[in-house]
This record gives sequence, structure tokens and C-alpha cells, in this order.
Amino acid sequence: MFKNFWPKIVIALGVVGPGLIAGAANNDAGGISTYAYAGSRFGYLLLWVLTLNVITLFVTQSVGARLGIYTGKGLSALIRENFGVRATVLALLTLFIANTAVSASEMAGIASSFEIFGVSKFITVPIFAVLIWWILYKGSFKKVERFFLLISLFFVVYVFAAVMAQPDWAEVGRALTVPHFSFGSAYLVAFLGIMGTTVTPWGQFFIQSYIVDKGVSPKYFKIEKWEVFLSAFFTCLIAAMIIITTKNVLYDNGIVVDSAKSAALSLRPILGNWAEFLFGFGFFCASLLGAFILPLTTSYTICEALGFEYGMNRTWKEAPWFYGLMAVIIGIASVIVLLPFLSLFHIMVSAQVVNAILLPVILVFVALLMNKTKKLGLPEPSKFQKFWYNLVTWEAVVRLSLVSLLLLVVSIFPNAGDHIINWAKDILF
Amino acid sequence: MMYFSGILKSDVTDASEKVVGRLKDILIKSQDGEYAPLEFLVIAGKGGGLFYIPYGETEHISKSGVVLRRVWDKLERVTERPTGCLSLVDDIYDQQIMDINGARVVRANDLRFAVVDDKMRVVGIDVSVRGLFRRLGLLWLDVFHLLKTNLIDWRDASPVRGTLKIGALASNFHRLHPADMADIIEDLHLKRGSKLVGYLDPRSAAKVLEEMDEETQKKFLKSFDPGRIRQILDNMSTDEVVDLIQSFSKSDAAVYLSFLGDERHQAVKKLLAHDDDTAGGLMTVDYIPVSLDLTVAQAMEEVRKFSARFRSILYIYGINTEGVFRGAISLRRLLLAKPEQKLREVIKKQKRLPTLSPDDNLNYICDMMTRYNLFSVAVLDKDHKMLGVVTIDDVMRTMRPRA
Repeated sequence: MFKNFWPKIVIALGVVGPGLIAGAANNDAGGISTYAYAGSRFGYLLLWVLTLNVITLFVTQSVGARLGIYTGKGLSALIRENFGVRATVLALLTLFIANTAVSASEMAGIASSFEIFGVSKFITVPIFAVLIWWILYKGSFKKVERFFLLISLFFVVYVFAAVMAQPDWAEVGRALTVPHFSFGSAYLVAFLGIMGTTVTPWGQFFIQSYIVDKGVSPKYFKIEKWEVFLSAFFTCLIAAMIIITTKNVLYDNGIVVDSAKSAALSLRPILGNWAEFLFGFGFFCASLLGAFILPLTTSYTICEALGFEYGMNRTWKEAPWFYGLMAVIIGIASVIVLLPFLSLFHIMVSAQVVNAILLPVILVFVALLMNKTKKLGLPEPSKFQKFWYNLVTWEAVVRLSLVSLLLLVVSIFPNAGDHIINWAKDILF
Repeated sequence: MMYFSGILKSDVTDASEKVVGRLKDILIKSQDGEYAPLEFLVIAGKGGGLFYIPYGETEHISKSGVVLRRVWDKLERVTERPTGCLSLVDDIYDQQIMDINGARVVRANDLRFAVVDDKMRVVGIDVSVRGLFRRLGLLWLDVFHLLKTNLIDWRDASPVRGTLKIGALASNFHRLHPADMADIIEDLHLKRGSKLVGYLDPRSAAKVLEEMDEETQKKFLKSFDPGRIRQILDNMSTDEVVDLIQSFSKSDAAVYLSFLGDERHQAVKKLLAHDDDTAGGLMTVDYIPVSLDLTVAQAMEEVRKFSARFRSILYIYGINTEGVFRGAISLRRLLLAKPEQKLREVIKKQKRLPTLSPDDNLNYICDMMTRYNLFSVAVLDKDHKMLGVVTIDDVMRTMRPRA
């Protein structure tokens, strides 16, 4: 009996492990801040968005994995080869803006983890900007990558924190399944933030090139799908736990998170006096990981699509665009973070909103590509699968576009929400 | 100067100056070492439908559009796609292109046409940012002319897409050094890369694989079928195979070991027993052992026999019937000796030669090779039986693993 048992366990762990790590790593500093803000400001009101997100994230990521496995090409290459130069420039510009925003959020994460201990951002940001670029340039990043990944597992602590807070699980269950909507601009911002930090443009590019780099063969698509599912599940699980924790520890006591320091408060019940230190350290590592990965993958993607030389084994002279773009992204991100009139916390949350607003552009490309089965040599999916993939992807496109538009309207006409409600009532009743 | 971006989608007028459609694509015939002549214009007719017009029917082609020689109704036009042609839009534009001279992979941003030998041909592929801006209609932004055009000669490039074209391209590909081939293949995506390796003969394929880092080697090997794997492993040098197998997990390693022939299997297994950075781990068993009773001419014959299989041959090694090391002789000395002389007379005797034992560490090896100016050293066990040789290349690799 045990003969068959152990290999299965090993395979299961082999799939759960990367899924868990990817899930934890998806929740970077910007993510944690956004969830903490949402939970402390609106309690459970946004939990239902996470339920939708699990589905959206799982479907979009497995479509990405599918494209990667069967074509052996990255997303940007597929866009270039199928939709031409203009579409490619549009997609890359979108990616560039979104990723620079996230890079700024990671830089802000690094700065705010140091601010917990009273070190000014004017000292940390320049130092880390130079350090990050130097390490990327030297190509020695791969060695430390795993270490940071492991540290970012720290935020699994929220699972325990949430349980310790003894929430009313029935209420949580209801909040996860029953949609709630409001037209306040703060609610819309938090709504978009949560969407934009789980389903991201860079995540969509990343999954595909990750699969291509790994050289996964079509045989293993099923396993890969499980990995994608688990990573989506863990991402949203940890997000839900952060919201549950902050609701019970902060929202119920009338504290709204507005900095990393106040977000750390949510871990006081479980970690006591160590809360700030450990939170700060975890926050720092998660941010640093992202601060490395984002400039690197962005530059990689752009160079691949436009045909510039790229790769860590190239020198500055051989691949000036590759290293130059990384420097530009790190530079812009640092300047944004150093602007004196923006708070670090605002940068982190707004970056996620920017992501959410830009995401539909990328998702439309993904949706168009996944339907080009014949041209790309993908196996024909079953009718149900096809319907399901299209439904989920286009639903996300519509949802994001509508809410973004709404946010725009509401920020220009603050009373627009009331008008819409009254208008809807007039029609319905 | 005419670029494809300039004429694509422009109006097509016939001899009566009526607009009859728009230029949708151009088909070419590609042959090795020749600028590809334009064969057919693909025109989207005004009333719908695709028409393939032989290039000979054009009067004039320029930025302002295409003018045909005859009236539309009298033209020779085909509605079925002619076979054996490449489509500039589908097969070349925006695709990855291998630049054989520069040994790199780039993307075709634009194409340059010119008249060569009385025919309009594709002469160059624009891979520059300037080409990109031209495509986007943004060239006016470049007020200070900072962007330079960077053309690749059409004859030096081959598109990487689809089976047929890769076959044609592999014939050019042979001209490159294996290290450059490896660079290109690593830049391509796995699928196309492995297809390309598939077109190489086993020996070249093995050489290219040797130039890749272990992770990439593994990925590529996994994408081949067992027969191909066996061929490639057979053609790789023994110490490369050892390095490769060491990087596999235990179960995978067993699978790949089983692909090796008996003799190879034994040799690899022996080497696997040693630590990575000791003489035993570094050494290769690809050396030429000879009996001291041979003549110089016979020894040369041995060199000829092995030369195709081994990466480098600097010395040949004298051993007795029990495999005990008796001395070494450089190729230079061998060349200068008289053909009928016995090796025993010309070989450098064992006592005067520094040797290694399998447990010697890297530092010791480096010190010794530097001190005595050695290109390769024999590795002996405690009974002075010869196990292998450490060459300077093996040592260099430990210092610069990526090169």
C-alpha cells in the first residue's frame, strides 16, 4: 500500500509547493496594502470580489499556460506575429505603464518597510534603486530569488491570524458569495485595487513565458493546470485572510489602514510585540522580490517583441535596450516614490488601480488569441470549454471597464452614484 | 529607397487609371544565396475577392501606389494561391529572423526592395528601431535623425517558421561555429529551437548541445525522441555526458544512462563516482592510449582514427598491457619524429612527467598546470593505471561556466 502512497504524496507536494509559493508571491507589498486597506475600511464588503477573482485568475492563467505550451512563444511574440506592429506597441505600452506603476509600488513597499523603523525614503530609495539595477546587470539575481520567495511565505501567517481573530464564519461565507456594490469612489478604488492586484497584466505575460522557459510539453498540461489553479486559489485565500484579519482587528476598532505601520497592527494579536518587526521584514522581502522581477520581465518582453537583443548572458554593448529599459523603469519608479506630496501607501494602492484599468487591453488580446486555435496550432477545446473560457475572460474585461468608467464618472461628478441609483429605481419600479 | 511598409495597403490602379483594389501582400520565391525576386502581388479586389497577379504585370511600383500594365479585365490573374511561394506578410513580416552573420535572432520590422539583375527583389531586412517607427508612421518624430537604419542582407538571413523553411535554413546554419549556433538556438523558443537542432546531423547537434548550459541541454534533450537522444549522447564527449547526467535527478539519470552503449556506460559510471571539482570529476576519458611498441607511423594512424570523435587531441599516451601509464608524447614531437621510429624511443618517460591522482583538488591542478605549463595532465590511480586526462579546457570551464 505504501508503495503507491509515497510517490503520490511527493507529486502532490510537488504541485502544491510551487502553487503555494506562487500564490504567496502574487501577494506582494501592494497587494497586502490593498487588502489591508479594503478590510479595515469596508470590512467584509469586498470579499465577494475575491470569489470572482479566483475564477478569473484561474481561467486567464490557464489560457496563458495553454498558449505557452502549444505555441512555445511568449505573449508579446504572439501578439506581434498575429496582430502586427501597431497592436504590439499598444500592448507593450500598456504593459510598460502598468509594470512601471507596480515597480513604483514595490519601491514604495521597500521604503515603507524601512519607515516602520524610522528610516526616511530619501535614504532607502536611491540606495535600493542603484543596488537593484546593479544586481540585475550583474545577473546574480537568480541566486537570491528562491530565498526571497521563501520569505514571502511569511504572509501565510495571516491564515492563522484570521483564525485567531475568531470571526463569524457564517458571515464570512455570506460575504464571499453575496455581491455588494456601492458607488462611493473609495469603494470603487478598493474594488479595482483588489482586482488589479490579483489579476495583473504582468502576471499574464509572466505565466506564459514561465511555461515556455520551463519547456513544458503538452502531456503535462493537466498538471500545469492544477498548479495554476492552486496558485490562484492560494493567492485569493491569503487575500481573504488578510481582509478577515483586518476586519476583525482594525475595522471593528475603527482603525483605517493608511501606512505599512498601521497595517502591521493587524498582526499584533498573533505576533505581539514582534508584529511590526516581522511584518516589516516580510514586507521588505516581498517588495524586493517584485522590484527585481518587474523591470527584468518587462524589459525581456519588450525586447523579445521588438527584436532587440536580450538576455542575462548579454553584455551592455550587445543588449543596450535590454539593460537600458530596466534602468528606465527603476528610475521612473524611484522618482514617483520620492515625490514629496505622494504618500507611500497611496502609491501602493493606486498602482493596483492603474493595473486594473489597463488589464482589459491585455485580456482582449488573450481572448482573441485563444480563439485562433487553428492558426496557432492549439488543440480544439470542447464546446463547453470554449464557452467557459470566453465567458470568464470577457466578463472580466467588461467588469473592469465598467468599474473603471464608473470611477472616472464618480470622481468628476461626486453625486453621479446617487443619480444612477435613482435612475435605476425609476426604470425598475 | 523602397520599403514594404510604404507600398503595403496602397491603391492599385490599372492602365485605364481606375483604382481596382489594394495591395494586400506580396509573394516571393526564396533561394539560398540570392535576393528573392517578387513573384506575385496579392490584391484585394474592389468588388471583393483575392487576386494573385504575376509581378510582370506591373508597370510601376512606388510609395504612391501600384500601377498595372494592362486593363484589369485583360490581366492574367489567378484566384488560387500559387504554391512554392513565401508570403511576405505571413512568413516574414514581424517574424523572428536569424541573422547568420551576426549570429543572433532579430525581428523583421520592415523589408527593403531594389532592382537587381533587372528584377525587383527583396534585398534587405530592416531590424532597426527606425524601421519600427516607419511602420508606425512616426518617422517625423525623429527630428534629429538619431535613429539609424540597420539592414540585414537578405542572403544572410533566414526566417524561422514552419518546417519547409527551417530545412532550407539549416543548410546555411552549418556555416556557424557551434557556440554561435547554440546562442541562436537558445534565443529561439524551445519548439523552433529543437526543430532546428533536429535538422542538424547528430555530430553537429551534439557539438551545439555541448555549448549550451545544463538547464537548456536538459530541456532540449527532453524534447527529442529516444532514438535521437541516443544519437546525440553518442556524439557528445564523455565528460560532457557526465556533467549532464550529474545534473539530472536520480531517476532521470538512470533513464539517460540506459541510452548509452555498454562501453560508454561503464566509462561514464566510473567518472560519476568522483567529486565535481577534483581531478577525477574534471577529467575526460576521451584520450588516445597506445602501446609503446608501435611505430610513430602507426601512432599517427591511431590519431586519425580517433580524431573525429574527440574534442581535442594534444597528446597521445603510452600504456602497457595492464593499462599502467608509461609516458606521453605531444603531437608536435610525433610529427617531427621519423615514421619508422618506435614510440619507446621518442616518448617522454613517465618519471619525468607530472601526473594527478583522482582526489587532487582544483587548486592543486591549477597550480601544477601553471607551474609546468601543461595543456593536459594524465590522471592515475594508486597503481599508476591511467584513468583519464584533465585538459586546460576542463579547468577553464570551471572558472567561466557560462562561456
